[in-house]
Amino acid sequence: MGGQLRAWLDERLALGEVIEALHHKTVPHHRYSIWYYFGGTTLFLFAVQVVTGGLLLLYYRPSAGEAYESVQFIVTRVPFGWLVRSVHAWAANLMVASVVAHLFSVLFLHAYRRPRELTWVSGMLLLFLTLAFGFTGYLLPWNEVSFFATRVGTDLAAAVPIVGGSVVRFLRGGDDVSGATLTRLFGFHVALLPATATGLVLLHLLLVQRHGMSVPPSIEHRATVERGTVRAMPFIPHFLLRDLFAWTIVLAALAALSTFYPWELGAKADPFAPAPAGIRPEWYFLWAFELLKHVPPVIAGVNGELVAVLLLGAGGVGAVVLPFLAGHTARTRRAVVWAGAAALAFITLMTGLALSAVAP
Amino acid sequence: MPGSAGAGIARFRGVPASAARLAPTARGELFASPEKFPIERRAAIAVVSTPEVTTGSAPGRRNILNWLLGLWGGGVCGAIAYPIARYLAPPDIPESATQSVSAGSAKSLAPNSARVVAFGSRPAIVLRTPAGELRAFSATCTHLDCTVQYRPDLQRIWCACHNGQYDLNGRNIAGPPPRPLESFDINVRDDEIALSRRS
Amino acid sequence: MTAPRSGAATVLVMVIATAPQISAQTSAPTAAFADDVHASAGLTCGACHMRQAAGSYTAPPRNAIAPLCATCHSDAAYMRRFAPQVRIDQFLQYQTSTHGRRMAGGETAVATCNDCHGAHGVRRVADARSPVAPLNVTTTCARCHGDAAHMKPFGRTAAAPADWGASVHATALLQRGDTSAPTCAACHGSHGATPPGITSVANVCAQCHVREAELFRASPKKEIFEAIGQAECLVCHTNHRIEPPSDHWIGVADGAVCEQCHDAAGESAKAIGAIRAALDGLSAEIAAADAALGAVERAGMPVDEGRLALRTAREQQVQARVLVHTFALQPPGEAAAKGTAAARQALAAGQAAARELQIRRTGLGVATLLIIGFLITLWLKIRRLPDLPS
Repeated sequence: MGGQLRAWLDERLALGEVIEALHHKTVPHHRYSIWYYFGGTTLFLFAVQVVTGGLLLLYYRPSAGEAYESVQFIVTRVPFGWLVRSVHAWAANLMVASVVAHLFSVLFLHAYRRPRELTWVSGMLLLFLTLAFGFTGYLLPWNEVSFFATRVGTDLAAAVPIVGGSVVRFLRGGDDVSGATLTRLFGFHVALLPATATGLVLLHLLLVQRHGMSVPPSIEHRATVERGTVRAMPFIPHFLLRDLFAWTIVLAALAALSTFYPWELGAKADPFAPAPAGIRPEWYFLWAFELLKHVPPVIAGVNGELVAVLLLGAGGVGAVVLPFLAGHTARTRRAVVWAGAAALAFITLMTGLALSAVAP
Repeated sequence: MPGSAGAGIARFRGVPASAARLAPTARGELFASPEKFPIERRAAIAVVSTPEVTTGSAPGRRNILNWLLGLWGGGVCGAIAYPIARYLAPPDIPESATQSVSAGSAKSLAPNSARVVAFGSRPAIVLRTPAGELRAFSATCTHLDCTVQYRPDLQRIWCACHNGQYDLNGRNIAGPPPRPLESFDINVRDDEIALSRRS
Repeated sequence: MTAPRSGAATVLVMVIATAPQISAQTSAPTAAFADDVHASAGLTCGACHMRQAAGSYTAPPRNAIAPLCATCHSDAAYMRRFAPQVRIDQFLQYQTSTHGRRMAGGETAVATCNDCHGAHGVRRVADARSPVAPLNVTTTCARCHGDAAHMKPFGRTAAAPADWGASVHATALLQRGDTSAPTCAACHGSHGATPPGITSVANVCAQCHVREAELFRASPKKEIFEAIGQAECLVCHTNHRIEPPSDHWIGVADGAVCEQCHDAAGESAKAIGAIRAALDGLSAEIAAADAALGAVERAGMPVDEGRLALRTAREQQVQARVLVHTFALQPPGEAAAKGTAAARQALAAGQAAARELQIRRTGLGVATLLIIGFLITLWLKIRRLPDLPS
């Protein structure tokens, strides 16, 4: 019966070719190949977000007067609402961690090299989109912490030269964080960003399928010298089953985190109350926040914050066009490794500083 | 020749240098083959292949394994599907009760009397003035948080703790309370009084 | 008593002090006078320092100060021009006060107008910097009544201000900013300051604690206290050092207030014990419910209805404690019973939430087991994967 169904579908969809080709696809297997799984976990977490986000949409109300109460309703009255909400919140954090791990593994294993430049660029854009998802989603429960964190976070945008003010107004839907901000960020979070992200994800996956998995230069070199081949495993079923294994572990982690560390509701946002002490943005933005705190007021005659923002901007642009700047020679690749390690160390240090500075 | 059982990935180790390269499929190449991209000619990516086709472990054992896999996999899918299915069914109380709450029958609230009801986790007082008008306020005294009550003899809202008094508009007019009572909006639908917060 | 002088005559007496002739002795008071409410009304030195030459003003004799102030402040027609609603009976009240009577009898070491209001920098009572503003009253009174050396000749202790400072009223006023809390003047009067007598101290407390006073007067204690000449309220609560009352005051053991008159052998001891037991039981139920609700809230379960029930229980506890002033078992017992019922409801809500939490963890356990089983089977499958044909 299964065979008949397959034949019926094949006659109409011509999937047979695709599946046959998939059976011949291979994935390199070497000491670094464990890092190949992080792209898949990020995709899995994105799928989890789409599903849980869609479920939350059935009960959530995006207005300042009702948002908090609707989340409270989901968490207290809807069966398993607490689970859906906590999974959505935890998966967001795990997805950011996963995408960063994916980014740095691609960087250190030099998978951005020709011919994978577009894959890298689309991936960097997806990283920015992931952070944007996190930022826009954070405000939606409309509690005290998220309200003030959004205010602080959008304040950072004011440091951008020339267009800073317009950027802030664009993000906030006005001069200050209000119900208009909530509606706007909600629109970004559930419509505009997902549409863009879906397109980019499809592009990214298509490119990965076309090029296959990149092999790090050192592995290639060793293989050439020693054996002339690189070990590999078939995509179906070997890699696929291992991928499934990894995804199931992520699922188990999500379930455990949601049950033992459920996301709190907090207190409803009151725009007229003074900000409580120790407000800060989400952990993945802390490093930028901390950097701006430590920047001296004037650097070489220019406003310190402006310099920091410009440097960050230059760093971001540089990261996006990295494959066009480096990766062709061993020397440039070494430079990339050092730069990447320095960036990672810097971000970790800043994040650690920010976390330890929070008073109890 | 390596053993058939438990061989799985172990077979990947020690790929002979003479192992065949991946050949493009007869029906065209949809997915990566090393020949497509010159840069990877330096190190051919080879699939392990041994001359003979092995079917792995004994068919019976594989079928049991597949069956078990299907069983556990079905269990996991069920563990995901069950909460989602329960979530999709609307709960008994379809809306949150902290924006608006029912305060009982309007007809049974006589002039110059009041009723204290719960609004979220705090009390609210609904009163009908001697003139017949309905009013509603938070019933938490603004002095030290005692619950106020209506005094028909004084025609005022009164707090028993320290003799604080509020008029029928909720304004603090005597005793220690420093602020008026928060007032709520009233709507009457089919004899049911509905209180909601002033937005 | 001097007759009030005409306002016009007073205003005409204006002597302008010439700056270079002011001696060091008067320069300081003059500087303070710039902030004085009298200065902004247009009055100058000569208005009070009458029949004295500029540059050689001296303070009036202490027993002449009150009548001096009264020449204007008891003149209704005159005062109306400056503050239409201001009172004009301060001097009359002063004369009935302990301070006034002693001063009239020749004792000058008692308070008169300038001791509390100041002489040259007089501010309105509503001005927060005034020594008689509500938050400053007790500091002002304590200058004499908290000075043991000053009070000794009068045979009084100087404990009252410090005692008040340790009371619930001081906490309410100074820490919570509750200006309805009584200071010295609220119970003793300001201009007519006199300690209320034994028969009237309860009226003073009853100004705010209406319910307790009503209940007490309807209880058997009122007549008994009158008969034995004891002040209401004070016997159990004292007067200045009024501490937050506690359930353990009720009893016949040492440290309880009832023990002052009742002993363990009498009939009333049973009733006292029963009241105490009802209150203690309610306290325990509330504490248990609060602990249960707090624990599940920290674990992430919202419990609105439980908190509401606990709030009701706490209010019934307040009621029960107030009803102790009936000195009968039934009223506090009933309130305690209602409170206990509400506390049990709150506890039940907390326990239901804890059960729900357990159910979630059990559900997680089941899901994790399924996942682990799946992972193990998958791992076995991966290990046994067949090779692809070449």
